[in-house]
Amino acid sequence: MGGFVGISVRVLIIAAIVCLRPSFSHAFSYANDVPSYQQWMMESDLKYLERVPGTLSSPFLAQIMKHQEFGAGHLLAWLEGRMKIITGAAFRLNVSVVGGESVQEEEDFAFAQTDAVDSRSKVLLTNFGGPIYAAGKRRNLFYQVEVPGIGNVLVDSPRVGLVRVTDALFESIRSRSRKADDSLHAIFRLHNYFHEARHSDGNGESLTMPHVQCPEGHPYAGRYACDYPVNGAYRVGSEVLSALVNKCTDCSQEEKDILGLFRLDEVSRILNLTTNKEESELCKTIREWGRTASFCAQEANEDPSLGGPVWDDKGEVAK
Amino acid sequence: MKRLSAALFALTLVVLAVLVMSHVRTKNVSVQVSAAPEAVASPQTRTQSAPVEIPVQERNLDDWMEKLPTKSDLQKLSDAEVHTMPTAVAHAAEDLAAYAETVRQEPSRRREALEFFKGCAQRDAVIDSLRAYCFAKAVTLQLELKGQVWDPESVPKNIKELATQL
Repeated sequence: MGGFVGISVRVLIIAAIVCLRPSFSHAFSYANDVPSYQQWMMESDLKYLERVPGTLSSPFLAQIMKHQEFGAGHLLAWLEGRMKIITGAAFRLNVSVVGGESVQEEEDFAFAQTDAVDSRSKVLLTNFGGPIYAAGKRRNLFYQVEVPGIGNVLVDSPRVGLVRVTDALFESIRSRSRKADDSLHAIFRLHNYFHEARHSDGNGESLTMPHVQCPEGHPYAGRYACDYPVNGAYRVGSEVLSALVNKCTDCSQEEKDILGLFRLDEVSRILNLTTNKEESELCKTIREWGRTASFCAQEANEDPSLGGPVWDDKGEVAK
Repeated sequence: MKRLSAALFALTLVVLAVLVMSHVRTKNVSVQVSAAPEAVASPQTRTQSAPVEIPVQERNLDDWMEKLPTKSDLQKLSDAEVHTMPTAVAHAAEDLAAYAETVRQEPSRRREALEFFKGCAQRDAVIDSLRAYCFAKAVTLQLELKGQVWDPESVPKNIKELATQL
């Protein structure tokens, strides 16, 4: 009889363990308005990153990660420290002062309102934690944000990591393909996560590492869609993109070209970047033909390691 | 003791039944979740809003070049829309990469492709990133076909330097 009781108790303990374990581990916390397929894809993207073998090649990212030799694990840890809570496209911003009333029609939060992410817009994702922290700092108070399914999130740091994703982030890049969960798309989304995560960095004047107005003559002239420093969000995103493409074993040349064009768009927004042209594929090809080209000649860099002026990227600590 | 063990036995059976049921349910959910990306990946917005386009390998190259996204096209977009690569630019990127792939597979197209990429690289109105890609392709094709570097003054320095980032 005792043996039977013992078996029953063991079965119950095992059942309790099975019931209590999470269904699948989440690196991010998700508001309950994020559709499950989007959660699934984001977690798949992180698993894709986890599986990238060996060390990654990017002197810039090595400096940012503060590791001479860095791999996917370092990238993941960096990302998880800056992008933590994910809300969906329909998320309605509900901000209140800690211990105070709800804040309505606040100009500071106009950027994060749902209206700005309507169905026609192709906004992919927005880091709204940093700007809310910055708004609170300007008023010498802390805000909190109500996140459905999670509760009130105290915004006492730019690294609170509140990010809203939209349906557009999960659409297929290629109109001829229906797949949105292959390497091409994982790399595309991951580099966007890193871009947004960079907006959780900075302090004082560099708080949130904000974009600056693009100058006259630039394709995005007059828009806040450029970076003054060479260590801003566009650089982080484009370097991650490049590092992951270099490691991609199942990307076709055409897919690498598509991602290369995306990289060019981002690099064109970094206003002060000068890089090592001699190491570029184009200049290597020209050299292999025994030729030279004016655009492959090197110029002196202000900061050879990063290729131009940098902003302080230490995350601000609230006093 | 007998009652206790009977109760434990009954409880064990109930728990096992609940576990089996939840496993069946989880399996269904996981099937739905696994299937979702494929369903959602269907380019709803693109196929609904964009007209059916001619495959790149069948296009009139002069017409296509005229339709490449320009700087003035970008001025019509909102700040939020230009924060990441705008859809029109992404479409053009996809098409240019597809065309380059066609040329790789059909070397007989290299001469016409060289002229196309040269024209695209020299068009001031076209967006920098696309011009830089065209420039890189033109330089490579010119090397392959004529053994010379194409480095004209009609392509600005910033476009050439951007091309070295590809």
